[in-house]
Amino acid sequence: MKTMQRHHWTAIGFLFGALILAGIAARDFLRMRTPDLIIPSDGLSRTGLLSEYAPDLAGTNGDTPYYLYDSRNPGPTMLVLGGTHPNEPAGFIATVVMVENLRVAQGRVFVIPQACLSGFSATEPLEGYPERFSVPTSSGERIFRFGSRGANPLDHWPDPLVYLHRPSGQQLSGNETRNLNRSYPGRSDGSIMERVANGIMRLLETERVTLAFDLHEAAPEIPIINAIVVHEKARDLGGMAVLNLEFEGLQYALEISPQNFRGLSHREWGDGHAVLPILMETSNPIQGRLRGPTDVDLILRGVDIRYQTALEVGRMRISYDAEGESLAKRVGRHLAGISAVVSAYNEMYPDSPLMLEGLPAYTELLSQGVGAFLKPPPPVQP
Amino acid sequence: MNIIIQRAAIVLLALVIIAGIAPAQGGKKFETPVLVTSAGQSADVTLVSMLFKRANLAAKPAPQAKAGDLDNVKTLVVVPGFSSKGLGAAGISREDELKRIKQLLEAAAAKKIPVLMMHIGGKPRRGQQSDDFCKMAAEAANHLIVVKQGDEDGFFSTIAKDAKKPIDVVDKIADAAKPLAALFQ
Amino acid sequence: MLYWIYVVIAGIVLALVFRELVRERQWRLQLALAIIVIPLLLRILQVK
Repeated sequence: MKTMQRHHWTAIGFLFGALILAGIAARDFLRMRTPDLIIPSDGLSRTGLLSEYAPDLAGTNGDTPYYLYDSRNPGPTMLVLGGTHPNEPAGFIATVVMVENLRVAQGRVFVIPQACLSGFSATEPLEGYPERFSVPTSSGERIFRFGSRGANPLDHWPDPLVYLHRPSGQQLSGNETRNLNRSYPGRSDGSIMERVANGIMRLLETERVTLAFDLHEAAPEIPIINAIVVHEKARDLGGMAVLNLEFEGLQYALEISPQNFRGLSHREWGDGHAVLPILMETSNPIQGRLRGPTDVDLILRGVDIRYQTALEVGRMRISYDAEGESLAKRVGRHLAGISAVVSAYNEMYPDSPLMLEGLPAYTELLSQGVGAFLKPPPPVQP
Repeated sequence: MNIIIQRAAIVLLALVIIAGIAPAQGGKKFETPVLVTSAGQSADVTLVSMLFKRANLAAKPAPQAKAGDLDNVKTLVVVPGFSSKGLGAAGISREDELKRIKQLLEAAAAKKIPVLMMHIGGKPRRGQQSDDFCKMAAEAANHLIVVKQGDEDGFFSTIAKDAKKPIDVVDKIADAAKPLAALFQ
Repeated sequence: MLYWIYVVIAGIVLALVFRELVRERQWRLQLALAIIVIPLLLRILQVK
């Protein structure tokens, strides 16, 4: 038998060290699979899973919960999607605030806070994002995951070199195969995100959704921020909403969905169904390329030292508020946008209004913070 | 001497009265029907069309209007602002859009159709991509209405001042309705 | 199917890395090989 030489011992030692490091990392990675706590308001009618509309999703990490608020009074049906990109927290948290506060007096509302549920279980490689952030409430902290832009690679591996969108044949970078907002209309036998997209399209069709929102964020340097993007069918609706928001002191750009950019919610929802699609964007410094320290404070306060410096030395060619883009402000903008679009819809269709109650106003979110509109966490069991 | 002074006073009074009337007559340059077009394909043209609707003024939105669309048009409204999504939706390049606007403005000038420029997109519709469109529209316009945020650097004010054109700078989009209505009275 | 093919490929690569780790005499290169084990192992075990 060969005797153990010195390099064998060092190999064992380094391997042991690697296994310890892998164990420590694994503990963190597995913790990201713990579901986020969402506590619905009394207005909730029922909750369910997207697989009710797309059975092929059952048992997968794409099978995400929906929350239904049914007034039982005849009226339009609305869908609000958060978490299409789990690294865009304002969209997710805006829908959580909705779920935890909403009451519907006329019509129905479906809320899906984590459309890309798979993406909440992993962060984006090489970005240095925190894995979670906490929002203080009246008694205790609510902790939420901060995920990645697309589905967890464990749910779809490998990425192709080129992502071919079906049915259009449009070609995009291979990693877009895990991007829900490039996967519509989806397929029941496609990738996990195509199946989720298909499930959402089935929901739109089965429930005859009239108004559908997809809430997003983008880096400050992206031209489409603080914007409402509409399918051309919803052009007038979007325009009215933007003018209504102006009266509240909130500026939004209105953008029309490009017809030749396929796979996006505001394009495919509108092309495939009678629904009026609205996508909204806020400005999120943690996604910015110029950003400095990438930490929880940047998610919550949205004040970045590098953007501040660029503003001070006059090198800023983009919009950036020196006071920062706080989570409260961004969530407030999303909820104000939804309210404005619903108001505009009710003006255009007064015989069949959608009546929502319980949602905080933009000014309330700014003054009291997001935590004031989240339920406190349940007490920890001894 | 008294007669000379009296006659001078009458002439002076007449001049003052004429000067008082003249701006009111000269201010009414804009009439309906109106054609509203975009310069840069931003969706701001939709918002401007809504402002006209709220003011009960007949205006036809035509984001990609060409020279041939100017028949029977009394006023051309140009809404500058670049949008990559808008150009993508329209299926045209930035260069083609610049060419279209240039030809449209030349046709309007040839037909003596007054041009009103309305920049309502604020800072997002300014900058490297938008300013070519903004400059072209502002220089061809007879009157400018601008939301303040889009003129923080005095871009439009300077063009208006140098060319001695009237400009209305408003705080927000909805405030543009007032000067708009006044122009068409 | 392609997913599991890639997991098997990762397994083969892991085995090769392990073999080189044991054979390598320079400790600096052994350290590098040990670090490479981490992501391969986590992917095979469906952790990350």
